[in-house]
Amino acid sequence: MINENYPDQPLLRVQNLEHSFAIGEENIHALRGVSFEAKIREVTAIVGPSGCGKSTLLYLLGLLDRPDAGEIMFGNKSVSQASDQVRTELRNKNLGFVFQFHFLIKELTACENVSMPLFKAGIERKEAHKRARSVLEKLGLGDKTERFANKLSGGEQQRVAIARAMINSPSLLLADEPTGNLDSENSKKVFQLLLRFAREENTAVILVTHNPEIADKCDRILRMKDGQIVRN
Amino acid sequence: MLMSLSGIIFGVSFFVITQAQTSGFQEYFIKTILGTNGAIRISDRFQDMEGTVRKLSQNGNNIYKFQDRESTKYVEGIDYPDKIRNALAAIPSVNGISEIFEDNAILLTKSKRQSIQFHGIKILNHLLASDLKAQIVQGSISNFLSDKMGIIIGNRIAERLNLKVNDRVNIVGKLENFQLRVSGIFESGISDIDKKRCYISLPTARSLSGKRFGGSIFQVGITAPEKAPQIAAQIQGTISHRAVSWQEREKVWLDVFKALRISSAITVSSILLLSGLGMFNVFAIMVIEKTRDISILRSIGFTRADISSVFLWQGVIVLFLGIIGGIICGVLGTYIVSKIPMKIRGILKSDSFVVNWDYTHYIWAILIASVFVGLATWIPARRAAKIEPAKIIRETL
Repeated sequence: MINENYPDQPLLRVQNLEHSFAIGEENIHALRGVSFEAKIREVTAIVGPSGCGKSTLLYLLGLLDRPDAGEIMFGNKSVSQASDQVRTELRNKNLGFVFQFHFLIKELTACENVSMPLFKAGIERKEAHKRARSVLEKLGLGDKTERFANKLSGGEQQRVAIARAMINSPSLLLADEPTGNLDSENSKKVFQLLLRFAREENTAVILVTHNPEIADKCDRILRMKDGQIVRN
Repeated sequence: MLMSLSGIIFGVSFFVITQAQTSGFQEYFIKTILGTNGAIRISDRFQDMEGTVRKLSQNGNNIYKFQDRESTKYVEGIDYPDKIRNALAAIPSVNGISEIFEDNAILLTKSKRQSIQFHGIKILNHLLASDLKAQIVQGSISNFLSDKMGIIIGNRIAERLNLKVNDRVNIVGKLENFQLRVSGIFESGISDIDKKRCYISLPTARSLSGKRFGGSIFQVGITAPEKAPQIAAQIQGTISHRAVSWQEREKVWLDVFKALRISSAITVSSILLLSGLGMFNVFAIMVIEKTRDISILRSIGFTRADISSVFLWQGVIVLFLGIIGGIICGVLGTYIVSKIPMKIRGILKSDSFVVNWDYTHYIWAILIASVFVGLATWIPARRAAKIEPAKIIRETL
């Protein structure tokens, strides 16, 4: 785990991040010099209007995309221009990602979905399933481990997605509108899970949200507008 | 996918069966002509005016090349058979030498006559350079050995003249005519030979044509028939007589068999090609359908290689099952085909389909199937590995 021994040091440092991408023939300049830091046990909310670059920033932090310019540092390690292999390994061992639409593989059970990162990390099937069941039980899904993903409710699917993101005990957990499709009760449950995970597992959590109630409960809020952080 | 698997099974098995058939007939044809006319025939003497046989050296190996016949003078037949025989006997790969005196004659029975080509032979020598013993269908070699005025006739001649073993028949040559007793009837399967050729003793043949010396040819058997061209060139260079290998003699038929094998291989390979195209379609659609799942896997740490290996493994499994199934069906099909009754006479003699059990047919089938399935799997797998998760997730949202 990155920076476990230095909790006061920032886990993540982002400096002057620039990114643009094309949609059809239109070139969208999504990020314009974004800089910030995140520490372990800290929950950071990124808020802002649609199209301001929140999700793009999250994909760059999740190493799913490469910035055009700027630097992303995990601990003391620059990863923005790291090789595909290094980035993939970091994704598996140090990063957890929760998507707005949970993104589960519907042909697999809840337990199998949660086990996937462990399979990739080389853990045996039996052990991986055991750990996955344990995490699902903690999230209140102990009786639904063998249900196929598409047979679960929206809230349950999102909790399974969180379990999948947590299973490898990542240093950084990124969540893109994790409560965006949930009712208020389920939203609270999911946020409490993320908060508890950050505190108990020494993890930095960065979440994108449109929900001001959730943002207010976070340790820090980054407000974005037109690809820039306008308030930290 | 099941259709593609069936296609691979059928493709591999049909490839094996058709190759077993075509090469089976080819091998049998070669066996027949080797058993009838020998591996090498030595005939006319020639005067080498410009040294037409060249000994060349390539990578330390000696090879012999017959270069130019334009300025070469031929003299019909072999003048000194004993000397030639001694020279041939010194070549290690030669295992049979038969001196033959060939000429034409007429066979007469009470009611019919037939033009024939007689071969005057020394039977014990001839048995070493041919399969005549195995080709006897009535009578025996011992009959011929014990009767100096015996004749072995082709079965088509026997049918036409209504002759049986021990029947008497008159033979009218250029100078003499004799009454001979039928010692045996042979069937080579080559209709041209079976309806024209008769074997008589060498002295009788010479007397018939009134040619006491010279004019004969040699039929030579060798231990490794596939090396006949090299050995023929070596013989020709050594004894200055025209030596023709079976490959040169039967080039037309061998080319026909080769063309048949290639054409059947191409035809049957199209089944494998279509199966490959089917698999390609299945995988290409699968990649499109699974784009979201691939993005999920990439986002949780699966590498590009992991993603492509998912598809490649599926391809390997289908290929493996297809090959195993194809080989089993190929072996069974080849066996069944070999038992189908079919009377063939003309260029060879067979009462059923002739098949050749050759492992190279299976290797070729496996290679062709592997290439087609490999390409059909590799291209979509590569495309799957190139999927950028951020782009797909952004578009999904």
